[in-house]
Amino acid sequence: MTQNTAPATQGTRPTIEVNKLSKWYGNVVAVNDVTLNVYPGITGLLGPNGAGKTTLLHMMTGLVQPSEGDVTVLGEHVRDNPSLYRRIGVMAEHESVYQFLTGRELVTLAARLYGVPNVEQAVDKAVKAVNLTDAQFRKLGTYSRGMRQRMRLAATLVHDPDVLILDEPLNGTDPRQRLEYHELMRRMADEGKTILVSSHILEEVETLADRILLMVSGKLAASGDFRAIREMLDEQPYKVRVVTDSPRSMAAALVGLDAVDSVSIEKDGEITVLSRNIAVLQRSVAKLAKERGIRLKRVEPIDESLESVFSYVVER
Amino acid sequence: MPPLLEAKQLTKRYGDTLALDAVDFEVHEGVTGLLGPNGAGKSTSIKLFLGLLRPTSGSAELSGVRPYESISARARMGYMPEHDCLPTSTTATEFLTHMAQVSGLPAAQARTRAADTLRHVGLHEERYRSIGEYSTGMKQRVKLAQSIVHDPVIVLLDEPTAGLDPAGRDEMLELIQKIGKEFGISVVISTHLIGDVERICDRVILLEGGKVTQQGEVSSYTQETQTLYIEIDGKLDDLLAALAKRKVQATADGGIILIEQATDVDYDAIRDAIVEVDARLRRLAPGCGRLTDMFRSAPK
Amino acid sequence: MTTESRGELFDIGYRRYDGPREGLWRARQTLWTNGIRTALGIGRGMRAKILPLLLLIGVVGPAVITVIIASQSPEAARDALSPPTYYHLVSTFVMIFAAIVAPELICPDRRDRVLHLYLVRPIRPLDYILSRWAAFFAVMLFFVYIGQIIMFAGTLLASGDQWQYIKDYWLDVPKFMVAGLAIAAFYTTLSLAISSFTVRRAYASAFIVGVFIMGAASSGILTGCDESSFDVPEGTPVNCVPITGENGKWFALLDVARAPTHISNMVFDYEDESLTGIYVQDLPSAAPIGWYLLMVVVPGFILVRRYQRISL
Repeated sequence: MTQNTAPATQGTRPTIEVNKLSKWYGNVVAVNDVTLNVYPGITGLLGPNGAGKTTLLHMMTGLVQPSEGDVTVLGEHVRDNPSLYRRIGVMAEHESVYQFLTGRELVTLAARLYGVPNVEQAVDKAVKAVNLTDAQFRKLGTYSRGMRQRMRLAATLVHDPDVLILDEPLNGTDPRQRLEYHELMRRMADEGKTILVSSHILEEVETLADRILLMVSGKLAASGDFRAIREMLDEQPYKVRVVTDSPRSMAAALVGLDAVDSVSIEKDGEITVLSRNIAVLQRSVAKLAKERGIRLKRVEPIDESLESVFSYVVER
Repeated sequence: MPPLLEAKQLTKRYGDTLALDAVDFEVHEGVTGLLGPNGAGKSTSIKLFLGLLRPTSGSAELSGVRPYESISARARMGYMPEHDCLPTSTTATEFLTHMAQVSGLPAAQARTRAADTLRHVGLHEERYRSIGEYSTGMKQRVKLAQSIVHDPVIVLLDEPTAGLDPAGRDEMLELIQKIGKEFGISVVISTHLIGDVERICDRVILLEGGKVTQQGEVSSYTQETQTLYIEIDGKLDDLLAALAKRKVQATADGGIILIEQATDVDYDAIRDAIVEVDARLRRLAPGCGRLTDMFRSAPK
Repeated sequence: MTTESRGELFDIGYRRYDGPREGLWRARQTLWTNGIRTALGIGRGMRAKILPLLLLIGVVGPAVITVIIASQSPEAARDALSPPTYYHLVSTFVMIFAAIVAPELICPDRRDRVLHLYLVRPIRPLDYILSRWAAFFAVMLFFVYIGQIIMFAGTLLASGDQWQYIKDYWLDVPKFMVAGLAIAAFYTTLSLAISSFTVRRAYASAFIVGVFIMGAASSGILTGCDESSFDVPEGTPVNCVPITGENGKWFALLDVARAPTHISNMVFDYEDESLTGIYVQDLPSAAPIGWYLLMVVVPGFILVRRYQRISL
């Protein structure tokens, strides 16, 4: 029930700029003419399987050559730009690690590869951030899946990158840890970092991300604050639940509004209103109730969540 | 009501690691969520209840029988593993009929059960094609189907939504709920996603560090609170003033107004205050607990 | 007045199962049937049927040809291909079939992890593996017997005095059955046992063939004739001494692929004229029998153990 206010993006320089980006493999167009910007803060990259998210991320990190278009990160082109990699942290979806290394060795290796000046200190900090100080000297082969993911995350941020690109970083992580990582990501975002997270777990992205990028079949289908996106979905009326002490009376009053498409009364007396003009509905409800002496107990939109927005956009 | 599954001082040690430390818990009818870290506790419990492992000490019982001691106990259990587990060169129909017979159903009944089960999980003409040609979603359905084809009393599902995109996850959760509510088969789902448990489980057991740290009804965590939340567009101070005028105790937290223990009189006053201020009422609803709260109350 | 309903709505929702639940024998039987279907490629597309068909042609072909010869002259038929020599010929085909198809019964279930689904059902690992073994054994037995049956029946019908033929040759039947059992049991057990060590069918086939080739090669090397002991003119049977000395004859047993053939020869009281055959015939008769039993019981034991100690 918390409000999710997206920080204003006007005036801020985008961290990642993607311009008319396409990638095809033979006849398969994985990414189709995508133009988008990623700003500081936390951005969620969403989409059904096969939408092109991973290919897009690979192009953003310079691993894959685009077929067309370009990507700039922190103002520079990504491809073949090793010095830029020092400022980006990437965590791929692939979970394999060298089983024979200890957790600490993995992070130290990453730190050295990135040319971190004070390796021991940076490794200590990274390992502490993911809460694995106790287990850091054990071999990765002995770690549970969640622990492995956490150590990989530590390796991804040991060099204190400005940009973090994470592909399903919390796969297999347990509930308590997930909450802690959300807090960690939030802290990093507040420090001004840019975090791009690709995830299927919408209820988490909803609370975590400031804005979203939604891909469908290789194209960018929506971007920004999901509530604003919801309002733009004209063809999808809003569903609002209204609970009163006299449902029939309230329903009759609501049907009279132009802004209301339909009203249905559930078994338990709760009313579900479909409205294409939710602003008018929300302005009128209390008035209608007062005029008729109806006690208003609950007014609540029920398809305003990220999950609803996701399915509406995907099915358009 | 006697429990369906019961863990009694269940302990499992692998070399130096103590995966389960004398845990006690019960699983009753309905849909139960087994929540916790990956590896160790959850998967070990499931394997013990399926008879794939023997406990170091203590016991795991299905209606009083231990599946690792009596193979007939396993006839009434179903299992859907997390990983791929389907043959690639048979059809769904043939595979399911075969599995039903392995569970003890005679041939004719196995055939009809297989056909019915495939229909119930939503597989139609594709059931006559080779499983190797199926999409991920279709394979998940076959996996689920083989776990219920022999009409078990309880099914154990290991991370059933892993790797699925939002639409796939919705479909899977709907199917599981259908199994639990309409088919009358009890379900245990082992998952690391709180959202899964919140959506479909009646009860939840939290396993951490080899111990049960919490267990209870999901509704006790997600029930409505006594606090009423009001969200409007702007005009916050005006509304607070209008409420105070009508003697309604209200506080503001961020952009939201909270009212504790609202009475009927309060509701009418709130309504009138909103009209007076001519505010756009975005939300008027009681607060709801979230299952994530269980992690704030328990020790780590 | 009766009221007629103009429509009916049927409940096709989920039904609980109240029917009979059978025990282990139902499970064993379906595993056995499933094993046979896998081995013969039934219900698995045309490609899976190629090898069984080829084997069928390979075992039936010589039998049919023999019967055709017999229709001209039964004695000539027996000279061309007698029951024991038929087994010599056909063993190779059966061996290749076992090497390629036995892994199909073992490896995919482990590689695709279908085994997990079996082991949580009311069966024991022993039931699973014994049913698989029984299925492949049945298939092998079929291919091993079918040719002999055709030959015996065909030659019988082709001969002038059928009663006389039966009186002279009736012993062929129990003999080919016993020898056939020995052949089928050997190839079944060994190839399944080797397959249980890997999840990839191609590797399993390679290992099985490898075992046979290594066996033949090492036997050949170790029992090769010491040419300095030659002292015979051309055209006479060679009296060969292995380069490893007189006791080197024992190395002939290393040619594992021929272990069942020796049993077959003993059953038919047949004089094998191959070098390996000659050596083995020189050994005490307990030797090939003991060796054969070892080569069936030990792999069998290993096969069962591998499944009982499976950890998921």
